[in-house]
Amino acid sequence: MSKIPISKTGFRSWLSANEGRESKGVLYEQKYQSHHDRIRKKENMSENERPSSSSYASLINPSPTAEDYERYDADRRIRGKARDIRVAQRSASSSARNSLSMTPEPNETSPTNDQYFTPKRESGGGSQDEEFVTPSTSKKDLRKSRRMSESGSAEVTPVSTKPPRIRKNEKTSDEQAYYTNCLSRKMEENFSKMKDLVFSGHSMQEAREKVLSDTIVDTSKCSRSPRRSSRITSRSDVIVDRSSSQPPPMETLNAVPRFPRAKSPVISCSKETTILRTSYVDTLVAAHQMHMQYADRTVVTVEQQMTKLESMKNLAALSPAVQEAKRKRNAAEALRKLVETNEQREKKLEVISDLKDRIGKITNVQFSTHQLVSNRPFAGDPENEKLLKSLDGWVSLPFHEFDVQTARELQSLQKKMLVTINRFKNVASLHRRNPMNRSFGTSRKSIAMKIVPSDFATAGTYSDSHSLNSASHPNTREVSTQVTARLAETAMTQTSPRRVGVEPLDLSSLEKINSSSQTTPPTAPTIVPVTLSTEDFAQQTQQTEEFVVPHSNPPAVSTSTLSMTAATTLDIDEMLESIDLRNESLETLDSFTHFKSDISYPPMSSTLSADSTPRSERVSLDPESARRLSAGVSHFLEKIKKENESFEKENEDEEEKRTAEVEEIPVSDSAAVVVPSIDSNVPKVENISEESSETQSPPLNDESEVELNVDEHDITPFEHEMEEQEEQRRLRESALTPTPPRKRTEETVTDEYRRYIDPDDEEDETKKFLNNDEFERSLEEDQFDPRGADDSADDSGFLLNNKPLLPLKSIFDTGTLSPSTSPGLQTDTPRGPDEVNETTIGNLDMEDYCQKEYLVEIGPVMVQKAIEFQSELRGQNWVSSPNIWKPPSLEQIQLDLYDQFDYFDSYSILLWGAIVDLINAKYLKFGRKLNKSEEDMFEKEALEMLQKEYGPESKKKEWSKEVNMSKKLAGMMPLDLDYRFDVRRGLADNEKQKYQWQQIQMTVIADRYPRKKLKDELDVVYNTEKENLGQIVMERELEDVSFSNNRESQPEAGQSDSDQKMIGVSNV
Amino acid sequence: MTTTATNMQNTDQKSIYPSLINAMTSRRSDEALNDFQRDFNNRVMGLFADGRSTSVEQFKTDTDNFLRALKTEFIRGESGSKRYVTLKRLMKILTESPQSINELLPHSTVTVFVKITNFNLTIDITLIGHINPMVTIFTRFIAEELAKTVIHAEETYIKLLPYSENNTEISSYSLQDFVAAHYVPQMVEEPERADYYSAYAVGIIFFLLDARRRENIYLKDLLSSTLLMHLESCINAENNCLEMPEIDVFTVGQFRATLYEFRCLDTDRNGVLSPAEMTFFRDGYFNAMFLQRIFDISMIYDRCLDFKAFVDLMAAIKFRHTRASAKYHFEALDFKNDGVLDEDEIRTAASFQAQVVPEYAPNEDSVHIDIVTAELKDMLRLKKTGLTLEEFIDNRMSSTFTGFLSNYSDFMKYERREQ
Repeated sequence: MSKIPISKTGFRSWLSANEGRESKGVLYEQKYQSHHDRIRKKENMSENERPSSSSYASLINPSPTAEDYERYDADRRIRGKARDIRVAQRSASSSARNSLSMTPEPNETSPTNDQYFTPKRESGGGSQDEEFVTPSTSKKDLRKSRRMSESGSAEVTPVSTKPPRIRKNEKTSDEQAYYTNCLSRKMEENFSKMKDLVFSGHSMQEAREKVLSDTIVDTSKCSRSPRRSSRITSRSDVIVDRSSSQPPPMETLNAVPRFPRAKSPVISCSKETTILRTSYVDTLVAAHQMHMQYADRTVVTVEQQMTKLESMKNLAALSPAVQEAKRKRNAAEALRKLVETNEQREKKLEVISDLKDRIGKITNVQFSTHQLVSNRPFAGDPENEKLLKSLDGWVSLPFHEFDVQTARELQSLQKKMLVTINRFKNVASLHRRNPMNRSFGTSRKSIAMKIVPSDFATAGTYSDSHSLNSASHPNTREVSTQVTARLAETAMTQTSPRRVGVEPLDLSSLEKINSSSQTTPPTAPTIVPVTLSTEDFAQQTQQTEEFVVPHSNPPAVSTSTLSMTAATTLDIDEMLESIDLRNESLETLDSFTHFKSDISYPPMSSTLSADSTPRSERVSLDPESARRLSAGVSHFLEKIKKENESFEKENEDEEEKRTAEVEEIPVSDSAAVVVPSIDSNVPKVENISEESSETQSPPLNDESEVELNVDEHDITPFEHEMEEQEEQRRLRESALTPTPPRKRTEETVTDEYRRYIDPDDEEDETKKFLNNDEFERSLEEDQFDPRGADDSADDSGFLLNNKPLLPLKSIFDTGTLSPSTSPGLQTDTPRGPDEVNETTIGNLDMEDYCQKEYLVEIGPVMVQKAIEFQSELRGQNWVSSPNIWKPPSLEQIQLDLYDQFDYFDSYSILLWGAIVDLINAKYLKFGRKLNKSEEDMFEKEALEMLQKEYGPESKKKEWSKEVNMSKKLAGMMPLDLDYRFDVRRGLADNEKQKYQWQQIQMTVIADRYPRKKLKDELDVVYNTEKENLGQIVMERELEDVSFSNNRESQPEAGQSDSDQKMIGVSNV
Repeated sequence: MTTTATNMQNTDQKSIYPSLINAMTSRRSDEALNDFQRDFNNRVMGLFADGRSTSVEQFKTDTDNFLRALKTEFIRGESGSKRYVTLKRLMKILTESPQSINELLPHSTVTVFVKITNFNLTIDITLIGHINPMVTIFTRFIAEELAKTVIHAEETYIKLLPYSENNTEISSYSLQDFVAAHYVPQMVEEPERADYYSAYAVGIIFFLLDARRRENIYLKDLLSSTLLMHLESCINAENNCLEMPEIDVFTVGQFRATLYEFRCLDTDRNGVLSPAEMTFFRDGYFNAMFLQRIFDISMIYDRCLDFKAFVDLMAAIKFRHTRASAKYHFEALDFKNDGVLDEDEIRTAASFQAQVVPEYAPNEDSVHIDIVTAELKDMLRLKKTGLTLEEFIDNRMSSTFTGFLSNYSDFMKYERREQ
């Protein structure tokens, strides 16, 4: 800041420029300067402030070039002068230094500058004065200059960068006294001058002039001894402008320095004159104030001195007692110290134990963290171990030292504790959210999976790197090349069979043949000629050959043998398969890509997807057997009711009575449960049909045309659309004009049928049916194909098939009504029994019937039975539950219908199984009987479930929901097929199938490995093993006791088998 | 010698007994156990596995018998090509079969079969599938297929037992060992490094099983997810140059692609990905906030993502429809880590997403944050209180949502869905 600006052109040019002027540098005595500095420092600096060392630390002087030096050196004559200036500058800078210039010139502090400009200065700290004295100059010179400047060691020695310490050394009372003398003299002078001026009685103008003239004199004086004036100015300035507590304003911050101290005294003097010129009084007043202040301060110090002296005196007076006391005190002190050290020791021990405790805690936390993370034994924190060891040694430390040490350790431990606890928290939360997961300490430490960079991963496309990758590892490269060759080969061979299989023409023709065979009477499958099977055989063997080829490249010999073996090993499965139609294997080729997920569905048209079984394939009963079925069911139900009643009435042996009671007990009492349901159902159905009739009445005329067409429908009798159309039409017809079709049926229906429809006696009825030849005939016709019934039955029967609900219901009604003869129902159904019977003559769709009517009837009964047999049903599944209560089947109803109609039985089984499952899963948990409310709950839930799962609504459910998967499993599904997550995308059927298959797989496997079961299994093994072990140990102990004498010789034989058993133990 | 042995055993026995009783389920490498206990546990596990495998053998013969019986009792469908077994007959067969078979076909499964078959309450016993695509195409029965699946699972279970700590769960590292020991050698073209591959495969398995940061998974989950089956089929397909299966993440090709992507990102080649390196993930289509959050929710090492975490990310992107992925994204988008996704967070995410829109995107695509936020709120049916994790997972739009907020390509896909 206060450096002599070194112009680029060099010292000489500077000199020439400044030759005429007076020298700026002022050499005043260093001691004064330093003293002044010190005072200023005291006044202006706050306590903890230290004089800026910036000027010392600045190494920033542009390093003198050789040129500079040459120029400088060349002009040795002015060297002395230069030194003078430098000294002046230094002293100035030292004073400036004390004015706390925190921000030196930017080029001074910037270390980068330094770095680049003065590379070889070792520390360069205080080498200010050496800027012109290059290292090449002699040390003598340096010393001389040092002596000359007397700048003290501060500037010269680079190490000492702290001026205050140095100044301390310098301050002597001598200097101080001198200075104060000077100051006071000056003040007195000033004061007297002021007094003179005041008393002289001059006018203002005169006074001013006088002062001016004085100042001029003063100035001349000033030039002679500049320090005096400068002292005054600085002094006054300090006092007037600043409060002493404030630090001096940073001069460098102000663009214009308040007073150019570093400049030549001439300038400072001139400045002073300007100040004086403006207000001399100010100066005087200031001087006066200063004086006063000074006086005050001296008074204070004197007083202080005095009090000190006085106290000293007092002390001196008391000295003997004091001595005594001191001695005593010392003794006490010594004693106390002894005690204290003991106390301290205890305290120390306490602290140490505390520390140890903390360390232990940390170690614990670390250990548990480690357990979570790692499998290896816990090594412990080496730092803690070290500390733990060294802690004991600390007791001997002096208390203070000990305190410091322990405090430090305590702090660090605290920190460590926090860190470790935090880490533990993290690890724990990361590791297991699930509290059930108990496997602590079993895991390995989680290590980052760092990927070793491949040598060329950075460049190129993937294919490049791919090839390169394989190239990088010589062995894998070989493998890969070999493999690719081989794979290419296999690919070639692979395609050939596929191409063969795919051949589109063949396949389609076959398919056509197949589909056409659908229309022909279905004798084909059973009468598959043997030749076909052999053909198929051949084809299969061929296939195996073809597929074996990729496996075993080498020659055809092996393949032929393989195919031979394959052919010979074909067992029943293959035989069975070979019976299948030929095109099946070809079909499969299309779905080659699927991963065991293709469930082949029965062919179903998309329009019917909502429906269940395609109508053409549905099991249906001819009207007669349908009627009998419903009658049989109702009878069965009644029987159950009776049983129930008897069961309730008299807790006797029911099985004996079952047969007898059928006739004995009147049904009307027991039918209470069934009848209401019928009641509710019948009117509903009628309403529906009536409604439909109303809505559909208008297009009657159009329909007549259709009717005509339908008469010729025999041409395509199995078209679904036709059938449905027909059905609808008939539905409408029958609903619209109830009588005409009925009449028609009356005409067409054979009299035999009408004969059987005698509602009075069921038993009779069934017997009649059984004996009936004609019915048998119709059944026979039904055997091969349900649709055969259509043909066999007369036209009317065919026309009337798939009647709406109404007739079916009424069949049922007649069955139940006849014995019970409930009046309410009869009034409900206005038609006479004859009429009703006539309408029933339509084929019965089993599915509709079962879902819509049978379920309603049988559901409550089954629930009742489930409740009744709840204790027996515990732990049963659907396979075993019929042993406890057999759900109604056709045989049981004593309808000896043909086996084809397993539908009914299956349905019963399904329902009963579902109920058994439900009661087992939800209600039979606690090994006690259900109470009333639970029974009610169960009944409600079961009925609901049956309706939902097996009733007509079951078809409306979405396909994906049909598989009841747990949320967890559904979430694991890796197939991106779940439409729930991609609503917009419609999924193809085979995709759905895939999804379903996947779901089934998952559920089945998940059911097989419940955690509890596995654990129990293991526990069984565990316990038996444990018992074995215990036994062995006991045996051995006994042996030990018995063979204690001849230990060496005997025990081998005795232990041999136990040793064998204890494979696991032997290692110990 | 013997005395010392017995003495030791005595002491051992004393020390063991309580712990044995307390911890009924054996665990092999528990630190608390001593060698003896560990040996004992190993022995028990060995016995357990033996018993299991013998029961599998028995089961196989049982299933064979059952299937044979099934094949004699079938009816044909209308076309004659399909064969069905009615429930009644099935039950007749099952009543004569041993218990294990009965367990194979519980009522629920049968119901499902019936519903799938959709034909007169029967079960379609034909299943055109292929256990091993390369051998021959068999016409299989559903039940047979199921039996195969179960047997496969059982065999896998026995294979897994030596690697599991007890008989119910397995740790990720053990599973890695298992994959490296069982599956990698089967490959014709082995992956660059077996440990990388196993880490990759296990990473995906763990991710899909929703056990991303867990150490162990249940064997039940592992088996029922059939992921190991997929793994096998992948290996099989690659070995024989067949068409890739539906789920091809386990193929070496996919693995290589992932590894390559990782290495491309790892520009300083220190084996892990720093946040700076991750910014180039997928051409920078993923927004910065999301990528940042990945670091927050993953296990990181020195603030870097390792390969396993990277695999997690890949799996989360690939299997966006799964529960695990929804969870992953939820964690990433839950900026406040309070377990609730609220409007603020959605807005923040959306604003970050909007920044990603590259320069070449046409102007009309510029998004307005408020509109986007409202749209997203509608998509999630966001409540005032926000959305919890469970609700988020159950939401069927969550995959779309996460795609929208994480990367530009999905964002654009959604934005232009109506075009």
